[in-house]
Amino acid sequence: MLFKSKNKIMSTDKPYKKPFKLEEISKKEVFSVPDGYFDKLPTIIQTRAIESTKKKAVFTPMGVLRLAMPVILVVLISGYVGFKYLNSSERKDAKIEKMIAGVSTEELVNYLDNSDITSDEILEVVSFDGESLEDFTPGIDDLSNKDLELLINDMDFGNENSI
Amino acid sequence: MEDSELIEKLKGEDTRNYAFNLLVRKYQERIYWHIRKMVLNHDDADDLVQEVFIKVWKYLDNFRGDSQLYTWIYRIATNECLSFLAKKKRRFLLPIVDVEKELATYIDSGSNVSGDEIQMKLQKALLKLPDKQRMVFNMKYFDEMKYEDIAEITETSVGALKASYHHAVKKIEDILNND
Repeated sequence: MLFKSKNKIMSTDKPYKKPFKLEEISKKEVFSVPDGYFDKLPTIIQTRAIESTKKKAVFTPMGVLRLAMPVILVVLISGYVGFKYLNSSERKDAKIEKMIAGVSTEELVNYLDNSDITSDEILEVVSFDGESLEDFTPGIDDLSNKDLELLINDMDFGNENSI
Repeated sequence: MEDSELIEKLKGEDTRNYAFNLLVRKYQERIYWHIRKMVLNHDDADDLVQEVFIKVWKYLDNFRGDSQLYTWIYRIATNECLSFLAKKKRRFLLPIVDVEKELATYIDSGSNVSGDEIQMKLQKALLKLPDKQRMVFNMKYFDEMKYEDIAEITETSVGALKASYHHAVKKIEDILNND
């Protein structure tokens, strides 16, 4: 850069450089494309566009599987958690009790009539601790001696294994 | 063919394919160069330009006509380009400066690139701008687009664009003068 000082021309170390102005730079394209690129491009794009429309209408097994995967995962995880929950010991007991409560007396009698379980076997597993006869036969205390006699006569006590 | 006529033909089932072909032929070069100046590499630009026109095809029914067809296509291209560059930075976990270095290396490599010294310097200086500002600069400086159109594409105000362009020009001139 040159500048005047006390009528002498002084120079700095660096030579003067005219500042760049953007508008002075030509806008020539510096990048190039392979020959014939723009001749082929419309066909490539058109083909892809038509294929994308077809793909939208056709569901391939893999495509369906991919779409359904989140739902499948949710079902599997829910199933696993549900299975674990239902199989926990507390749930199991509660489930059995609920199932038994749902069986009618008539169904139970039918089942016992047709099974090989004997009265003794039933008595072995039933606990009568702290229970009175009234608990099993409500209203029996109200029966008169005559009623009891009739009841005993109606029952067959010939077999010592019967109740 | 005028855009209005093209839009009419794109709506008709029988003329849709033909009109789309015309649309691609009409805009392919402008869109390609718009993308290429941002990503520099021809292969990336090729992939992106195809994606842009596939999206145009898919979403043609969404084009309401309240903007010009060409600004709508430019908007798709701009968004594709910016997300591509953002993904590239995330994918390689590279800081911005390294992607800039990678792009600068591409310019230096000279593959599909030619120009005098000052033009090459200009291309490298442009890489110092943030992607969005570089995009605005390219549209104004190289494509000589109106601010109103750029505003529609970038969904930015004309005032903000003028300020951004002015700032970009100053920054580039400073880089070139200090190089």
